[in-house]
Amino acid sequence: MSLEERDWRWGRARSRMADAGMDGLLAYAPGWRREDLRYLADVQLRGSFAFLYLPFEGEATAFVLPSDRDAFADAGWVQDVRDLEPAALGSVLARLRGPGQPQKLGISHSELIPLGFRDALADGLGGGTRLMGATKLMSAARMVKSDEELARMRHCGRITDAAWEGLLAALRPGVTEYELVASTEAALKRMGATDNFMLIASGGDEVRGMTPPSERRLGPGDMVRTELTPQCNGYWTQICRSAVLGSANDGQRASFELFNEALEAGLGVLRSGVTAHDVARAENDVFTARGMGEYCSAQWTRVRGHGHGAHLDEVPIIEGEQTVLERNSVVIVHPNTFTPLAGYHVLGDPVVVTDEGWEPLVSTPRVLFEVEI
Amino acid sequence: MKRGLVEAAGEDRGTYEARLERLRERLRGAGVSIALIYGDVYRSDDIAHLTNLCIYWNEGVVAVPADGPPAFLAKLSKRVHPWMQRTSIFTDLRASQKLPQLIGEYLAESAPGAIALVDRAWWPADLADGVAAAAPERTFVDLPDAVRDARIVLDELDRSDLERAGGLVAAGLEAAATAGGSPEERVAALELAARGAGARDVLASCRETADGTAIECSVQFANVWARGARVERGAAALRDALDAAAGALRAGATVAALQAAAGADVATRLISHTDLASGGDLRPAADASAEPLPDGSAVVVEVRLGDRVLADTYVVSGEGATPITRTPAEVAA
Repeated sequence: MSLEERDWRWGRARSRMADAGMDGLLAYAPGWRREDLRYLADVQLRGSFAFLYLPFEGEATAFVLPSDRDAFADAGWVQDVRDLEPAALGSVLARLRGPGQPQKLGISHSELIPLGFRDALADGLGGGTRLMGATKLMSAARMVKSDEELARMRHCGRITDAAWEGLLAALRPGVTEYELVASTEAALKRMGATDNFMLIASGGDEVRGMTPPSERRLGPGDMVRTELTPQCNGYWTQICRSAVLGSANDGQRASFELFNEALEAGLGVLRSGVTAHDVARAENDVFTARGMGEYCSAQWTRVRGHGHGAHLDEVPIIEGEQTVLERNSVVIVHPNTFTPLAGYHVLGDPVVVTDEGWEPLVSTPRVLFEVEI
Repeated sequence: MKRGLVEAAGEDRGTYEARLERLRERLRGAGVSIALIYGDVYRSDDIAHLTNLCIYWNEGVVAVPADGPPAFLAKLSKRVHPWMQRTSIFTDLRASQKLPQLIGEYLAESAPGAIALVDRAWWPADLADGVAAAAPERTFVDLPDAVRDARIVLDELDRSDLERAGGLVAAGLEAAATAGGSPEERVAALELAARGAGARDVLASCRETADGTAIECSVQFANVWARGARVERGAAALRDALDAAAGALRAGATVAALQAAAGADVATRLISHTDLASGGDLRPAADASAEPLPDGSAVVVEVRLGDRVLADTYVVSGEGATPITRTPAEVAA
């Protein structure tokens, strides 16, 4: 990505830093939550942890383990890359201390920073720096995507479509859930995805939710549900689809009709200016009208959708949240839940929010797939 | 997230109970009432070792009383509790978005006494502070490596799972080499070979170097990891160095001895199988350099020369070391 893109992103972060009175931001990247640092540096990380310091003015500095040095050189956004010394964060403190030491330092993913690191920072910076959380600040900064980010997400959407095709191709009686995931994983890795989030469930109306795969072997009539979420070039897109091995039964068809109507209702209100919960309410109203309102509660389901971007499950959360959707934010709308019609059912599409409505990121038909045996 | 095969504890429940009891003995010896063990999707092998629970996403805390069954406390919804009960040994599962308060409530119900935070330095600071605030009447102590220490020497179940993990590494590396083509195609072949045979997690990378394609992978089968790395060309010098290091590998050997055997031309690294989820990042090499290797432990020996790296996983005994990540062709060669 271009340096203009970098400057745009740093500007978004700094604008919010100014609002919060922060004169420095330290992005902490543990193994499972690297998105803020990746956003600021456009790198893929391999190490278990890394830091990036973004002062309110001037150049950023990254602190990394040896496995991540080359990534920064390749990306070119951050020139000042230093070795990370986990024991006492010596290199981080050397950068932060002295002239220009931030008085208010925001830490993104402060809620995950280990005690050892936090204490090293607090002790090393002393009373001259107040440490603050900056996770929400960065989540808000990342919500609206640039043209370059959207281009990557459109590309990821195409890979998502192809990965779903790969799953369908692997569906046959006798295949196990884990073999199905393996085939899908291979398909998306072949197309250049670097990570994936994929829950799955198979069976009939006894299915209550999705989990990692089991040894269960698929048989005729089973409905396979999955959230398929590849990450490509640092960006995630998710598709939620259900497929039946053989012909769908009446319950499965009725379930699909319900979920499709709910999804269309959500998409029908979605545009910039509405709130995330407006979309959730539209979806839930369909269930309520069909006498299935109870299945929209936390007992049965989590949310009616969520944001996508550098993290797969980011703001806005489409359930109970009054965040106003902005143009070029990206969300998946998915009324996933259990009903007695066919058990847990998933259906969802990722879209870019526009002023008039939305732009789809996937082209997979919104149908209940039936795979001929 | 972990998206590979998760099997139930099944016939191995006795092994998990024995592991828990070993921890309880340590707690009683240390005068600790309850151990709290933190884990997240990236790093939760201690929890998996004790309970067969797969933290496939997010984070949680396992509470192990000195006299009593364990509990799992997490933000993950109650909706996943039936799956957790089916696949782990837990019967006590609790959920709340307010994790410190949830832990505080658990501690309030529990026997009095000191609380151990296992590997306290790696606990999220906010969570550790929150738990202390939620249970202000308790004394909190650190119990570093309380579970990891017990994992170093493999028990029968771990040995069996390690052999499977090693076999999947070998099969994956062979599939990647055979597939040819782009790095993406090779990784795809590796993933299919490993996940398709039941790997719970796969960390694979493939890149083009001046010496051809370099492939590395760590594979988790059940709750145990193995690792291997290969390079397409220029491997002879590395293979000699690795074999020399492996020749010095036995119970009682030190990292320094392996480094000396491999020679000064290569950078030699030793990673305990217990640390493979994080690639050894949480264990600086200096921690291990003077420690003699225990009989029955498993380690990865990695030799690096510039851009090229070769690695295999070995089980260590008094007589030497057995590689478990080599294909039959490699063993025969």
